[in-house]
Amino acid sequence: MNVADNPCPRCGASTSEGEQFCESCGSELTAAQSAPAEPAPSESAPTLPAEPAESAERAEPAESGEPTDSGSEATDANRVDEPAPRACAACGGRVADDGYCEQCGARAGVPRDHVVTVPAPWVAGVSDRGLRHRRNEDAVAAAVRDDVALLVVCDGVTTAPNSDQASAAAVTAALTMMTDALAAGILAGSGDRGTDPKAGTAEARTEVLPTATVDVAREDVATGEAAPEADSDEAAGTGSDSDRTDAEDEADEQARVASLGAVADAALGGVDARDTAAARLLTAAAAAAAVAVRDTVTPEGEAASCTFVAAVVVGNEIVAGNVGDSRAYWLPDTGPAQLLTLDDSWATELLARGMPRAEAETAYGAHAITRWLGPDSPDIVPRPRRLTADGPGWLLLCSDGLWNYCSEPQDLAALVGAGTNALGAEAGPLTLAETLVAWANGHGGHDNITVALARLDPSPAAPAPLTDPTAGV
Amino acid sequence: MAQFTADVYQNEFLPDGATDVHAVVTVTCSGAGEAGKSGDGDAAELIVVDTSGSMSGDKIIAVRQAATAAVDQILDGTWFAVIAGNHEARLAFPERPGAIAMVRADAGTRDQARRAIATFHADGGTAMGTWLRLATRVFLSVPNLQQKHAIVLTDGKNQHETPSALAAAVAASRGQFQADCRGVGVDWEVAELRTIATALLGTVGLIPNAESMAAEFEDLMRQSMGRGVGAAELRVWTPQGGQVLFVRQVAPTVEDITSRRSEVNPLTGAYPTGAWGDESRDYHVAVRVPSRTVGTEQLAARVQVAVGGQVLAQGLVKAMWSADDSLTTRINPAVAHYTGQAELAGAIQEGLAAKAAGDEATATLRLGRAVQLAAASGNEEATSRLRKVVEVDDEATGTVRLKRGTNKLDEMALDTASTKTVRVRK
Repeated sequence: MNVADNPCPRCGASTSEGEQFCESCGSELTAAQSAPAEPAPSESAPTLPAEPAESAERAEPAESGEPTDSGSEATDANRVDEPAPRACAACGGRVADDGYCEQCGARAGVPRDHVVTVPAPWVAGVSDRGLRHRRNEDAVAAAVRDDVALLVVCDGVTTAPNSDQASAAAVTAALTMMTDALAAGILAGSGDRGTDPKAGTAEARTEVLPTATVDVAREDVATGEAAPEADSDEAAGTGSDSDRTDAEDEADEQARVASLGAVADAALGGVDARDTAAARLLTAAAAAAAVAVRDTVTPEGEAASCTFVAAVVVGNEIVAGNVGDSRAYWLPDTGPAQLLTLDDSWATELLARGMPRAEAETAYGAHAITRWLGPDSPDIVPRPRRLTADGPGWLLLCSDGLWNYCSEPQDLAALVGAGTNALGAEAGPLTLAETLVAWANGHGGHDNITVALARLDPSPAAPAPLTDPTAGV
Repeated sequence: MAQFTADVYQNEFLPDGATDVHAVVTVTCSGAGEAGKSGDGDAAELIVVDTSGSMSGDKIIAVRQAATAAVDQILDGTWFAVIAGNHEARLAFPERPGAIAMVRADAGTRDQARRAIATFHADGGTAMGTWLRLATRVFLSVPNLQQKHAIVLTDGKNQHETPSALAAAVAASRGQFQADCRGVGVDWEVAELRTIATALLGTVGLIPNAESMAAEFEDLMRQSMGRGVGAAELRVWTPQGGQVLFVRQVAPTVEDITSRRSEVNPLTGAYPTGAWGDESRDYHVAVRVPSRTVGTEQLAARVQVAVGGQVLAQGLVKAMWSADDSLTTRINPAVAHYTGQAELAGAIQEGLAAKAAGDEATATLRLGRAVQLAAASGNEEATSRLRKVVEVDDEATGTVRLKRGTNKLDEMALDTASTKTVRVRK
C-alpha cells in the first residue's frame, strides 16, 4: 500500500511511504481502521468486563477480507483516507480541524490512539494509547496468508521526540519484509520458486540483510551505557571497568551470551530456534525495522528507538523473537503457559549473573532495556524460540503496557481464560485483544498497551505443517 | 495582505482538581502595508489639539508646529481634519461654515490645513468631552472608513466639564475611533487622559516640554500611517462550562481588555485591539474550565485573530491534567514574567496615587514592590524612572525611601510609562 503518490488529505502536500504525519501540515496520515474513542476505563477493576468490547465494528472490512497476492495486504499502518467530519465522543459536538471539540473542548482522539488490525478471523492486533500517555508510541501489524501468520509489535522509547513514528515505521518495515519473503517462498525454504515474480525482490532484500545487520556495532551491552529506557525513569547501572582489553571483553561477552542462553532455556518455553528459516526471517525483519527506525530521525537529528517482538506462525509451529522488552507468550487452553521471549532488560542481565529473579526484577534500573532498534543499539538480532503447539491456545504478543500488570505466563493465561469465558460466543482474537487492552486501562493504563493475538487450533483439519511446500502461498 | 500568527506559551499540565489555565499568546502581524491601502476602505486621521488659555506663549506655537508636523506625515488619499479644542470644540480644518467634513490629503489640502493651523490662538477653558463628541461626528461624515485614528493633545485638567459629562462622551466615542492621547507639561492628569486613551484603544504619553511636541506628533502620525490593518480583534473561545477570567495585553504595554468583550457566539468573545502595523503584541489569557480526571487532555481556549470577521490566525491553549508534580508545578516563564509586569504597572500606579494622597506608608510599600519587580524582570526603563522618585536601599527586597522634593515631571513620566513592559525571552 504505497502512498508515495497520495497527497495529504488535509493540505494536499505529497507524502512518502512510511510517513506517519504530513511534512507540510502535520496531519496524521495513519490508517482509518482505528477508532477515535478510547475504551472507557473501568474503575481499576480487577476483573474482566463482562460485556464484550465493542470492537467488531471497528475492524476495517478490508483488513479481514480475502488476502491478496500483493504481499503487502497487511502493511496497513500507512494508509491514507479522507478524513470524515467527526462527532465529539464526549458531547456529540463537532470536532474542529484543530482536533478539539467545538463545544466542550475535548480532545478528539487521533486514529493512532486506538489502532486495530484484523488480517484474518484468527489473528488480530489492538494498540491503544492508554490513559496516561499523550500519544500512542506502540505499533502493531499483522498479516495472514493461509495458515501462516506474521505478527509484529513495537514499543517506541518514550524519551525520543518521534518514537511514535519510529515504532510505526518499524512494524511496517518488518511486516513488509516478512510478507515479501513469504510471497517469495523463502519461509517454506523451497529454492525452486524463481518463477515467482516476487522472488527476485525478496532475494535482493535478503542480500541486503547482512549489510543492514553488520553495521550495528556490537558493543558491550552489559555496561548499559546510554541505554534508552523503555518506560522507566531509571537508568541501567554500569557494570564494567573502562581499562579492560578487547580480549577480556570478548571473553566476557561470550560468557554473558552463554549465561543469557541458560537463563532463556530455564525461563522460556520452546527451544532455541536460531537456524530455522523462520528465525532468519525474524532477524531480517528486525534489521528492516531497524533501518526504518533510523530513517525517522528528525531534521534536528533526534533519533528515536523502539522495541521489537515478532512471531511467525506456520500451522502449529511458532517462532518468536524479540529485541527489548516486548514479549511473546504461548497460552494453551490446557497445560502450562509459557513465555517465549527474554526481555533485554537490566533485570535479565542480573538474572544472567545469578541474581535471584525476585531480586533482579525489583533491582534499581530493572526495567531499563539493554537492546533496542535505533541508533547506538548494541545488536538487533532477535533471540528466536520455537514451539510446537500440541493443542489449542493463544499466541500473544504484547508491549509492557499489558505485561506490567500481568507478567507471569500462568497469570496471563488465567486472564485470557477469564476473558474468553466472559466473551463466550463473542470470543475471538479481536474481542479478546480489546478486552485485554480495556483490562490494562482499568488498571491505570499508565503506558501504551498493545496486544496481538493468534488463535492456534491444531486438529486433524488443521493447516499443513511448516515443511509443506504449499505453505505460505 | 497582512498575515497574522498566534503563538501560545503555557504550561498545559494541571494538577488534579485544578481549573485555571494561563497562557501568553504572541500575536504577530506582517505585511500590513500602509493605512487605507488594503482595498477594504479608507483611512482617516484627526488631529485634536488643546487651544485653551493655558496654552498661550511657547505652547501654542509648539502646537502649531506639532499639528503641522503631523499633517505633513498624512499619506495622500487619507481623509483628515483638525479640531481646535478649548471649552468647546471647533473644526479648524476643513473650514466650511456649518458643515462637518473631512478632506482627502494631497499637497493642496495639506497646505490649506497648515494655513488654518497657523491661525491657532490660545483662549478659553478645557472640555475634552466636547472634543470627542465632535471627533465622532467628523469621522461619521465620511462613509465606509476602515480606519479612524486621532491624536489628542491637552495641557490641563478637564476643568470646564463635569466628570460624568466627560465619561458620557468617552462612552459615546468608544468603538468610533482610536485615539493616542498626549499631555504636555505637568498640569494635566495622567489618570484622566489614561481613561480616554484606554477606552479608545490608544496610548497615553507625556510630552515633557513644548519643544518635543512636534517630534512626538510626527512620530505618532507616521506610526498610524504604517498600520495597514484597520481593526483586528482577538477572539477567545472557551469550552462549554468554561469562562474567561481575564484577557490582558501585556506587551508592548499592559492593558486589561477583559471588559471590551462582545459576544461572537455563546462560547466566543471578541476583544477589539485596534489597528495593526507590522508588529507583535503579547496577550495574557486566563480561563477557567471544569476540572477533568487525571490523564485527560482538553482544549481550554482557542485564541484567534480576526479581521473583518475572518479568522486569520489561531493559537490553542490546552489543559492536561496530570499526577506528575514535576510537570504541574512548572510555571511558564512567559506567564510568570508578564504576571510580574502587570503587577509592576499596578504597583507604580497605586504607589504614586498613595503618594499624591499623602499616604506615605502605602506609597513606600508599593513603589518598593515596583522597584523589586522591575529589577527582577530586567525592566531597566522602569527601574531608572523609579529611581527618580524613590531612594533605593535594596532592590532585591524592594526596600526604598520616598525622595523629598521630587520633580512632578518625573512622577508623571513614571506614571504614564508604568504600563510599558519588557518582552520575555520565550
